[in-house]
Amino acid sequence: MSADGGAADALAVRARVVRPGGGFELDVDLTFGAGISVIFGPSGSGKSTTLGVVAGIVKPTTGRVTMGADVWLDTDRRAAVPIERRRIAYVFQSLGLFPHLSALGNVTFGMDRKTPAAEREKKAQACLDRFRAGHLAKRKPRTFSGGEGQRVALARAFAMTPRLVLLDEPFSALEEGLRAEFADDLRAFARELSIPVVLVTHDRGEARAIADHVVLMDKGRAVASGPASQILGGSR
Amino acid sequence: MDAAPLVLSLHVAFIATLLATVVGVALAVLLARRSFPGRDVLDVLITAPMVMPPTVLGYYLLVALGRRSFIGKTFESLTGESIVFTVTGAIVAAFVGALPLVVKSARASLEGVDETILFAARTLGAGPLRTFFMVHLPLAARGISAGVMLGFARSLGDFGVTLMIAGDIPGETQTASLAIYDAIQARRESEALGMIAILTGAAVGILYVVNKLTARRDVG
Repeated sequence: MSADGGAADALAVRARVVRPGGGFELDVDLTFGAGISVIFGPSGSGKSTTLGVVAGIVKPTTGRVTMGADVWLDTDRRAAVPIERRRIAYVFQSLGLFPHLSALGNVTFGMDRKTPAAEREKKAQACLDRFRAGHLAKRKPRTFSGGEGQRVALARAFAMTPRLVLLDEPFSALEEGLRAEFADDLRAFARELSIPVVLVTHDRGEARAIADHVVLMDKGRAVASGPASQILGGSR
Repeated sequence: MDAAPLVLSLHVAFIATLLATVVGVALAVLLARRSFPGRDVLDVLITAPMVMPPTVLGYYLLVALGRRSFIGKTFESLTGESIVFTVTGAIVAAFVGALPLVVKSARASLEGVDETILFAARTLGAGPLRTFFMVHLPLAARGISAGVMLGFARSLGDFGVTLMIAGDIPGETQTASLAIYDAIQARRESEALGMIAILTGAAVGILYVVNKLTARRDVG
């Protein structure tokens, strides 16, 4: 954990994943500060693999991942912080909600277990309310619509007070009409916590709608990086 | 009808199933999660009792657990009782029959849990143990219960291996299946009918519940 409580930590990731047949599946060197960064590119370009490396789910052939002053991964020194100690809110494409737990159970799962249970539940309910999912508290994920599941997943991510948020194709679970709403939720989330939020998408419109910063990826490499308007063209 | 063989069968089946559940789930975790040298060999060894002749399996168990074997001697010096030709032998026989059923079901259910959900638990701060007990195991619970119930049904009715390593000692190791065999051999069918009815009922009832448990349905 970093010592400074003020300025947001930046995420730096340098990783190479060698393809079994030779050549690189992924070869990136990226930095993400506070605000919403979008990794944009066609499917198979290495976007999700990059998130996996950051989270600790994918082990790169060589690489170094740092968050502020903390080293999460350094293959040269064979050092790796376990997934569960990185405090990453990872919103998976399929959401990854726990089907056997209620929405409230899902949200409390990631909260500090030193907090008394009653207090945890109160805070979790507040998080659900904040993402307009309060009425789902007692229901289980199989009864949720795409948008509802997405909001519960965001509440769960927010409640764990993460140091970093990763979202993999978060718009794909949403009906067309809910996308702008979700973008608003996410922007409010990012502003409030003032931490890096890294989102992966293959849709230019989505990227343009939400990004502060854009990384353009193709064939496992970052081919361009900069402010959204500059990389994607057009106005927001 | 003499109830002693049935009571013994239930006693043996309960203990054997309990052991098979603990050992079986642990083995299933090992087989499902980790790739290690000898994994395929272990898998075959666990499954072999399902297809091996009971006499052959019984022979191996006699060699491994008999009074002159290392395990047999150690057990006897600790408990003062032999493994073979005692109730312990009957429990071992039932355990060996139940284990592959538990392992197969448990492994399939554990492997069937969406990996994303397990990663989600890890990213939410749960270590491997908490992830296993709070997420992985509950999500595989239906399939594991089905395997445990099949294992129980199997151990309730074991005949061949029990005969080989526990014998057929009335009042000591004579389980219901053995008592049925003896009664039929001695043309005392009427004595066997009650046990036949009860064992049939148990098997059919358990299979019915297992089918309910394994019917495709979302967890929740």
